[in-house]
Amino acid sequence: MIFTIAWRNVWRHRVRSLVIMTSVALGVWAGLTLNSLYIGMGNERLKIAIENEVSHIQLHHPDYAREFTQAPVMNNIQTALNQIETVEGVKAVCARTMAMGMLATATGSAGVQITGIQPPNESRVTQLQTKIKEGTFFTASKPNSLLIGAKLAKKFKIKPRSKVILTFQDASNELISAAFWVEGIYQTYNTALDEVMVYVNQPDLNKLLNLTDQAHEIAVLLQSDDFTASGKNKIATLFPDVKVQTWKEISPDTELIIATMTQASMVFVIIILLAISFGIINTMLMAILERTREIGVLMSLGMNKLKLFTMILTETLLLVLVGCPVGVFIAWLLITYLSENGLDMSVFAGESMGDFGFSNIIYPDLLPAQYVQIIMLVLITALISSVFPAVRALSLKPVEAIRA
Amino acid sequence: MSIVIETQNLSKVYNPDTIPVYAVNQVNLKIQRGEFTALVGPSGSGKTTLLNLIGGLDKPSSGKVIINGTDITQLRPNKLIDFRLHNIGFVFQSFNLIPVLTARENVEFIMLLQNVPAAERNKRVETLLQHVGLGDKMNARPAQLSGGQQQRVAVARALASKPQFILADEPTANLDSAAAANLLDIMAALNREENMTFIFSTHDQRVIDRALRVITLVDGKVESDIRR
Amino acid sequence: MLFTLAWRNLWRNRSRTLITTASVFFAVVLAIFTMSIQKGVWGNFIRNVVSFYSGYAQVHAHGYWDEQVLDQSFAYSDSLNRVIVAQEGISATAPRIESFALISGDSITKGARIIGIDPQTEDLVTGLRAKLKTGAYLQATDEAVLIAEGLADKLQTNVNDTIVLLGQGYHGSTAAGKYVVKGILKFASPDLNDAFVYMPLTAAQSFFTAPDMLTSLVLLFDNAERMNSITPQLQTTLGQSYEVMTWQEMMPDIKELVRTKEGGTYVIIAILYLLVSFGIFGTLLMMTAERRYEFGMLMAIGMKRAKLAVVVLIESVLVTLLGCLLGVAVSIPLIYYFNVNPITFTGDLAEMYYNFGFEPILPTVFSPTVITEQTIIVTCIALLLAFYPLYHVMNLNEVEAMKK
Repeated sequence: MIFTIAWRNVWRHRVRSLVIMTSVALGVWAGLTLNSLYIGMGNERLKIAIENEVSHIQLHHPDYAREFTQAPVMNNIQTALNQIETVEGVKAVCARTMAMGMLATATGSAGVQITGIQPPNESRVTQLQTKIKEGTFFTASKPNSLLIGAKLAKKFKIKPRSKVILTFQDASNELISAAFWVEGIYQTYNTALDEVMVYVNQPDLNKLLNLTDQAHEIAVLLQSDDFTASGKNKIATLFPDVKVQTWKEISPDTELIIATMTQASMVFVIIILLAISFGIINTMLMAILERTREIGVLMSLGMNKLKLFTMILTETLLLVLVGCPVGVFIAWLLITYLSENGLDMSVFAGESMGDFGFSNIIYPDLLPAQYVQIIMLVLITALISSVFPAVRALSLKPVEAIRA
Repeated sequence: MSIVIETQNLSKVYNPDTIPVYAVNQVNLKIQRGEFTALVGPSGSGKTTLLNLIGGLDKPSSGKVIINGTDITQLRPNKLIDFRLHNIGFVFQSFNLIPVLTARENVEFIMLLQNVPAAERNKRVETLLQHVGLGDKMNARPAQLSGGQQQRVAVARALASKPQFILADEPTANLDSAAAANLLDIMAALNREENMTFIFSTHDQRVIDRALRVITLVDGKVESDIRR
Repeated sequence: MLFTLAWRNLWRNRSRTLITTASVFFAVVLAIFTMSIQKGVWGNFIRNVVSFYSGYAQVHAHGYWDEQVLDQSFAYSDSLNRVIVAQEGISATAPRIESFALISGDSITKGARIIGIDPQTEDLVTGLRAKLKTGAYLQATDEAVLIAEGLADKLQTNVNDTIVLLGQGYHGSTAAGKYVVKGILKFASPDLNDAFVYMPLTAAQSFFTAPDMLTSLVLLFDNAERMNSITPQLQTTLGQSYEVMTWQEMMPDIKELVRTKEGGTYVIIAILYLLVSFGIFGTLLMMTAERRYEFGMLMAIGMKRAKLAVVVLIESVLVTLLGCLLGVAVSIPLIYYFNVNPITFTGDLAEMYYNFGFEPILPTVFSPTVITEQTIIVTCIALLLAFYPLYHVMNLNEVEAMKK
């Protein structure tokens, strides 16, 4: 019967109930949608980081972190690549030779990282070929071809077929300068990297560095992240003298960017919850004021405090329990739609996303656990905010309440 | 005959520190089982306050209210609520039914609070509502009933808890003559047939005429107490 | 008379007044707090980014920023400096000459960014002295360098070692020189930490064979918030051969990022406004329900609808003003507290912020503008919603209302 009274009280002031339900639904919807957007951005960053930048696993010389241009990861690279390809879950492998140096043109110079790549392998691992904006991707067997990032190209007004001078040290620390011709201009999602990375053919760079069948880095792309741990172990067994690292070890900030996103969306969710709960508390307090007399009657008839408390609590919770699923359902529809069709952020953000290694199309995503987390938070908020009005109802004195 | 209600030196003072106003002043009353008592007096004479004190809705400034041997002024708040639930039936001037519940549910509600089993509840609700002549209105909400009908539901609700007595504060004040007469018939019949004790405050001469005992209050004091 | 009635109504029913006031109060506090923390976080971000290197604004030779080469430098003289410092709002300038060069330790060579500075004024812009890890800070007449820690590690160089710089000087001349390492600097940003070399301005100018030339002049302001009104004036004063650029113009990607995030802030705050509106509306709705009888009675005894409406409106205005005043009164110490003791987070996320050179804090901005703006907006919302009781009174049927 207490439930019946609470339930009917919900429908007594339909507009009021609608207002509370709508605000709960709106809050839940906004919280879930924004969270999914943040998570979508995080996933996108992760995907780009793995598929276009660091890959799942990288192999280096043990001294790599301190001084990577000097020590080749291993000899007999071609054999090693063939061996790695047989490891379970491996999708593609490529080797890179690297040098830090300076790029000079007629107008100026800039510090660059020169990467000597095996074009077909590189493309399978990082999709570099698809990032060509102007010119071509190592098509001809022209010697000393070079790919340059769009941002750097713009800075020095470099066009395809422009000549640039690269200066760097070889294995015996001798300074080497060589002329290269720009074959293509590429643009990835990470413009910060585009500004410092130039790509050349590995044989060209190896020849200049006096390296033979050697490279500084091997990158391994897997079928999925599920193979990362096992893949790392197997490769480490194959090459015990080499440093084998996963993307998490190479690029720890990728994981932390996602953590920042989660933090930011939690701050937002808390603000929303506060706004909802203040709304509920005020509205319900006023509703109790309106019903003072009725509550007085219930008390004089012999309804004890616990039952009265339960009644008001139930009414508030019912309001939330109707609003909450509505919000979840709308958010679920929207997120499901957007997770398939994507949301073009450039509408809101211009092209700035690319400057921070994000793609412009975001695929919002929310795991069931995250739905549950937000719904739990909403319910806890609802419970806390319904306690206030219920306590207020208890403080009424029957004789004064009836007189009201 | 046994005494159901006894008040000893019962007083209620407002503003005791500044200008003391005695709403109820040293009232000593004994009400016996089966009495049909009218509490009369001009406005502000303390009728409603006295009823509230007897009903345990208000705390006296001094004195005792003893119901069936229990001094209810000494009960803790939650005990008092429970005591009211099992011993006292209320009928209010403005009906005060629970608007979201039907006539049947309003009556049943009290028994639910008392944890009466469903079968007994259903039987009793029907008996009571038929008794007050509303057998055909059981599923109507208060808003769909006339004032007289609502007050009859209130009487049925007051009876539902099998109380020691029923307190009614100006029960006919908001009713027309026909409805008032009808209500009084029902109350008088209950008094006669079931020996139910009634105390009601009233201004209404028709009610006073039918009372078996008339207590007159003036300025919070008992001025006269006449049994007929 | 009507005002007196409204005033007494408020005092007579204090619970009601308190609840309605609270709904406005919470709205004001939430709006001010949310906006203050959003602005604070991004203000902090900009301050961090700007103090990394660029400063709030710079003067260059016209065209330098698009093509950052030595040949785009300009002649620096005391008279030029006097003209700039005479500009109202500009307190000082920090001269710089910078370009790329190769830097060699004993055996290893790297690309580096060479920045010639005035040691005293540079400290004002970037707090360079505080970044010194070992060794001593530069004097204006030194023939020595400060090297960033990451770069020093790679070169395996330490304080008092000698390094060799080799690069391109002014108008294609060869720049070469030997310098003592006077100190090691630690920068939070890896970009700076792996590449920056500082030397005194005169030493740098002679290294690049560019006596009295500068590539940039960093401006210091009395109040950076007024920057955007000062720079256009300076541009006019200096004429077409110079370019005066703010950080927004120099780092459009950061500006875009801030703009995007501020866009996000407006979405969040819009949702917040919507939610607090629901809260206030719910409260007003229950208030009118509670007062139905009272309204009906007043009309029954002959009060004209319009007059009653005026009374209700006066009450609403008073309650809104009271709620806003209380809200502001509570918000000021609240945001001041969080301005002085910002919310600090810990763990992995804090670590990442340190790695990027940011303090892991969420400070609030203590800005009268934010307080005023948010208060005005919430006041407008509350007053707009106050039309509901007005509408209710104008459409009330007094006979119906009198029924209890």
